Amino acid sequence: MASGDTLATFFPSANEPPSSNYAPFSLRNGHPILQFDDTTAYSAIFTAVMPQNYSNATGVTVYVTATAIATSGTMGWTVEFERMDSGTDLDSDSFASAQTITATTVPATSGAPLTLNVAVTKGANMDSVVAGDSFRIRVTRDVGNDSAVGNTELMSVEIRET
Amino acid sequence: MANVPDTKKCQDLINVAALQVQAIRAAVATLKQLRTTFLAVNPSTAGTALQGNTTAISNSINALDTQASLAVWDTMIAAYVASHQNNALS
Repeated sequence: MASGDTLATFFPSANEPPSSNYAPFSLRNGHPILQFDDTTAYSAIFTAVMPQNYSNATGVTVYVTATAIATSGTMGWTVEFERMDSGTDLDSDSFASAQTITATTVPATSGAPLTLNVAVTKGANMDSVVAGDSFRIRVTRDVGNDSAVGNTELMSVEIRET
Repeated sequence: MANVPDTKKCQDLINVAALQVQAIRAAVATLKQLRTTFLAVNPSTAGTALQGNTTAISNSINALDTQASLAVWDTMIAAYVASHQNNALS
């Protein structure tokens, strides 16, 4: 697959919430969203199968699109991959180390979506996910580094070939 | 204390101040309304806790009203963020 091509997309209804500190589902003017607290690090988890045409040449870039209640301050995220191959015990989590999406100033209009991204290199940072692997991606608000007050509201996650 | 930026810690106080001053304003409004009724009825205060204290109470209600009406409280109320859960300082 060529650089920039979409590998997977996720939306709020596909969330597989963790047992605690999960981002609750809600609507904003009819748009499905997941609400992320500004102090406690809430997470959302999505499952997919890496497409067979994923080249694993460099890795992937993860795009997170969200709105904020605030019209000032910054919004940031972390993303983590978990490969679910035959060597994975699903009874416990085994996410790779968190990859940080740098906290960035939110739009001046509260309802305006902001898309941020981080490149995740192949191998350990992706928990060695390759074509055909089932995997999970966990998205967490980076509450320790972003400064926007009030909820941020995740609308979508896209994974592209880097 | 949560390891979060200062903006969120400040919001704890902003939110609580906004909520509490609105409660104070409601209480002051109740006191002022009852004072008006009380003065209209003008009952004898002899033998009650009000005896000799009505002026002081009335003055205190006015002082509370003055303080609770300060513009700075309006600023806090305007900056209230409902989705902030006020646990950044805890």
